[in-house]
Parts: sequence; C-alpha cells; structure tokens
Amino acid sequence: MRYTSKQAWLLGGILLSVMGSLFPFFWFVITSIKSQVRVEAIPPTWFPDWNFSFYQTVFTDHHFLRYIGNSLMVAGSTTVVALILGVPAAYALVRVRMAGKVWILGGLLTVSMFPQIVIVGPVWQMLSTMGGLNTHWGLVLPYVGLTLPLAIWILATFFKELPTELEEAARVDGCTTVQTMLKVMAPLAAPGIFTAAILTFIYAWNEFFLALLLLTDPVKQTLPVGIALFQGEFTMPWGEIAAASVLATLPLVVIVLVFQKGIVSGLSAGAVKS
Amino acid sequence: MSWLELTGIEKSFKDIAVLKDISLQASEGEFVVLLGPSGCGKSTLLRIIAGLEPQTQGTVSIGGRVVDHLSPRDRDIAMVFQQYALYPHLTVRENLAFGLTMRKEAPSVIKKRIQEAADLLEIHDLLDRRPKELSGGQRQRVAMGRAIVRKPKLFLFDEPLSNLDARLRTSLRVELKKLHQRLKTTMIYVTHDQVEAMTLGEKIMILHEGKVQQIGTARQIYDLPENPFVAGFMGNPPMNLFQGSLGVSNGLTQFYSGDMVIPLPCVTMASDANAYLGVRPEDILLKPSPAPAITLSGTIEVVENLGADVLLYVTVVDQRVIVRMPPTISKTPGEAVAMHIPESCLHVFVNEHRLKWKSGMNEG
Repeated sequence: MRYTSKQAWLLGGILLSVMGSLFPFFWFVITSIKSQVRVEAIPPTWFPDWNFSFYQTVFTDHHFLRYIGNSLMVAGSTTVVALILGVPAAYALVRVRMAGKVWILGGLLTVSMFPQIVIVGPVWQMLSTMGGLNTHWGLVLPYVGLTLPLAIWILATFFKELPTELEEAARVDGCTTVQTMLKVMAPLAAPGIFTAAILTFIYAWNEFFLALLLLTDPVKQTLPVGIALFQGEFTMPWGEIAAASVLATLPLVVIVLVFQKGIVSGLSAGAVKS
Repeated sequence: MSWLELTGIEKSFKDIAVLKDISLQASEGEFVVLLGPSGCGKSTLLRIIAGLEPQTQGTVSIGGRVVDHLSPRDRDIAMVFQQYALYPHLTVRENLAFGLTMRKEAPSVIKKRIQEAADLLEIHDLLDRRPKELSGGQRQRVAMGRAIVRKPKLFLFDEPLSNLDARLRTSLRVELKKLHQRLKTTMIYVTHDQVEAMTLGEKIMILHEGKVQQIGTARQIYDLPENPFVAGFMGNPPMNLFQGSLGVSNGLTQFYSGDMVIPLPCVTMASDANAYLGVRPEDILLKPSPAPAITLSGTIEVVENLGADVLLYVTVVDQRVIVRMPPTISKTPGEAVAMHIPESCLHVFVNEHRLKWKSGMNEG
C-alpha cells in the first residue's frame, strides 16, 4: 500500500503520539522485569533480564493485596453509587418538564471544573466532623461528588437520543416512571451507562490526592497511595513500584475490555424508523 | 352516557390553544377516526385520551368511568404509534409479552395470548427476531400485536400506516378493518389520510385548527359537508369550490365569483357577501340532465387519464372546474363543453355553514 504525503504525515503523527503515551508504560513494564542491578544501572539499559522477583516482593513485603482490595472496594462503590444516583438524575433532567434545567446541567459542569485543591480543605473538614476520615465511605463520598457531574452528562446525552415514543409505549403498557426507566430506557442507554461506569471507575481507581489526605491509616489506603508510599527513608524501590504499577493497570485493561463487549453500538436501531 | 365520551376538551401549550371545546361520543365497539390536516391537534387529542398528555379543561370518560385522574397504565388502553415504538432490546415475543408481564399475567396466559395474536397477524416466523431485523410492515404488525395481546378496552392508533409505502398501506388497512370486525373493540384512529378515514371509520370526526368541523359517517361527511373546509378536504380530486358572494338580481338568487355568474334558481335567499358554491367532480354531467340543473360553459384545458377515470380540467370564465368522467369519454384540450350540474348536487355555504335550501333536499 502506498501513502500520499498527507497520509504519511498523519500516520507519523499518530505513531508519535501513541509512542509518546505508551513510553512511560513501556518503561515501567521493562523495569519491572529487570533485576535490581539492571534497574540501577547507569546509563539505563533497554534490555530487561526477565527477572520477576519484584512481583514476588510486592506481594510479600508491601501488602499489595490489601491495597488492591481497598481500591476495588472504593472504586467499585464509587461506580455503583454514582450510577444509582446518576441514572435517575440524568433521566429526570432529560425528560421531566421543569424550569431551570439548563442551569442545573450548567451548574453540574461548573462543579466538576473546581480544582481539587480548592475543595480538599472543606472536604477534609466535613469528613472530620462526620467521622469519615480514614474510612472507605469517607473517600467514596467525595469521589461520587466529583464523578457524578460527568456521569450525568454522559447519561443525559444517551437518554436524550432515545425516542419519547418508546417511553409512551411503556407507560401505556403499564410501566410506572421508575419501571419505564429501568426496563426500557436503561437497557437502551446501556452504552452510555457502561461508558459512565468505566470513566467513574478509572477515576476512582487512579485518584491519588484525596486518597492520600483522607486515608492516613495504612490499612485503609488505596493502591496509588500505597505504591507512592513504597519508598523508604533512604531507598527508592523502583523495581517494586514498576511491578505494582503494572499490576494496578491490569484490572483497568480487563474492565475496559469486558465492558466494551457491553457497548453494542446501534442497540437502539429498529426502535423507530430511521 | 356513551361508552366513550369527550366533553369540552381544551388544550393549550403556554398561551397557544391547540384544541378548542372538543366533544365526542362513541358507542362500544365503534371505529372512530380523527381526521384532519397535520397540525390540527388530532394527535394531541389522542394523547389526551391515552393520558399521555393532560388536558387543560374537559373530561374524558372510557366505559362510563371518568379517567382524567388516571395514568395511562390504569386506563386499560393500548396504543399503536406512528413510529412503531417497539422495544429494540427485546425480541418480538418479549415485546408482545411486555405489557402482560407488567400486569403480572400468568405465564400460561401470556403464552396463549401471544399465540393468538401471532395467528391473527401471521407473525409466527418473526417471534424470535428483534425489531431491527423486521421490515416496516412487519414492525407495524408486531406493534399491533402488542396492542392486541393486552385485550384492552380501547385501542388508540396514531397514524399507524403513514410510514409505510402505498401498497403495504392498502393491505394493512384491510387487515385493520378485519381486525376490528373480529375483535369488536372500540378503536380510535388518527390519520390525515381521507381514504383511510373513509374506509375504516364508522364515525369520522374532522378537526381543523383545533376545532371540530364535523362528526358523522363517511357518507354524511362526503355527501353533506357541514362547511367549506370539510367540503374541500374530503374527496380526491377535491370538490370544485368557488369563493364568492350571493346576490339577488331579477328576483333570482345569483352566485358571483370573480367574473363568473351562476344563477341559483333553487335558492330563495337574500344576498350575502361570504359564500361558497361547491360541486363534486363526479356530479358534473356533460349531457343535459332530466332533473333541474344549472349549466356552465367552458373550454377543456387539460385531459388527465387516470385509467379508471378521466379528469377534465375545464376553464369557465376565470375559474377552473374539474370534471370526472368514465374512461370511455373522448375529449381533447381546446374543446368547448357544456357542463350540467343537477341542483341536488350543489353545495352552498353561507358564512362558513352549509345552506339548506329546500325541505327534503340536501339535508342530513
């Protein structure tokens, strides 16, 4: 196949950006399978020696399983709560006739743009009063607050696309508003729900700053905080950090692949004459 | 009290009144058609009956029960939508079962009802498919099936055939009529297609600009239109309708329209500035009639052969008259013709109302 110069430039650009974004990942993948000697070699070496001992020490010396468990707990709860709140909210915002709808949606967007550093103080204060510091629900609460606007926006976009006739058919067929939402609208907005779920989960899985501040008890800490605190007083265990990072990324890759199956495009085709 | 009764229904969106004082009675098992041009409010009226839209004023009662406060699910109705509105994530069988499942019918009942509906509509082969794998006609059959399985008290149809091509529309129209004859359930059918209205409707209500124009059988509406709108709306080709005025000259009532003057010896009526004179294309004869008739002379402009009929477009002074003739007639453009219109076939409207001019004649 021959490329025109325009296509060649485009292809080059794509390759460059993919390499740029994958390089750090590539680097810690190869670092994680080097031996301690190669990790610390100067100049750095490109070639790993296929030594998997870091993976072992991550589990044995650094409570990796505990961090994973905590992160799953927090990210999973955040996703579930955000969807339970977000689906009805988005549906209502799209379908219920009410005044000031635009302001609500605009307000949500504004809230999601607040920098974390601005809200972290008040959040800490509030959780401290409520006894939510060093608890998982105390972390889930702000996570839900921060991810909900985006989730609602994504879901609202999907609900808006669905024909109103379907809802009317459901209502005539005997559904209440909640049943209409759960039995007809939600299945059809499944691609949107999966998208919102994935983004929420990734956010909660990767979030570092709030987790670092709100969870000081090592038993409660999540994966990003845990990995960051691998470093000792005098040492920087690069190999372990790399191995843990690879392992932390795997669930995300798996989840995206699994959920992608659920994103069946054109699910709503055939509902109405297109 | 009739089985279905609408009393003084009004509907406004913000300040715009879309339905004005609509009243309608229908008896049980009747096929009622709401007919009107697009934007006349007929779909809104249907949605009010369904409970999908609240009326601003007035009462809806179904089966002798006022249903104004009831949600659609509690009105015991089924609705067939213009866009089919099948649930795309469910198979045809699940679509049919949906309403029954929501009403917690026993699985054996659901199975039986689906079987019956599938028999009636011949959709057995489609039961395990999803809506997107169906053609437009099949989708509309399934949509009808979904309504039938529920065995509702009232069927509502919102222009169900308007998305289909002409041939399919004709065949489904016939099936719909058969369906009504078998089920004997009350049906309300919204359409803008006068052929559907004429063929299906036992009672037709014509709506225009949110107001009832006329309620009656197809025959009544076609033969005795209540006002110029109904006269011009029903019929294809449409009725020849001249706008003008009535005046008296030499003791005879005359109709003036543009430069055309038509004497109306049958009308004993003083002058009026706002009048219409109408005659259906098929009521015009090209040979003298034994009955009292008026005669117009004109020149044939265009001859249209439609196969079963021939349409002559005739110019009379400054007006055009359409004449419908059997195909055996041989006329050519440019030819002069004398048109004879029996007086009994004339429709005269004064002040937007039909004028009844002789007892025993032209009255409903």
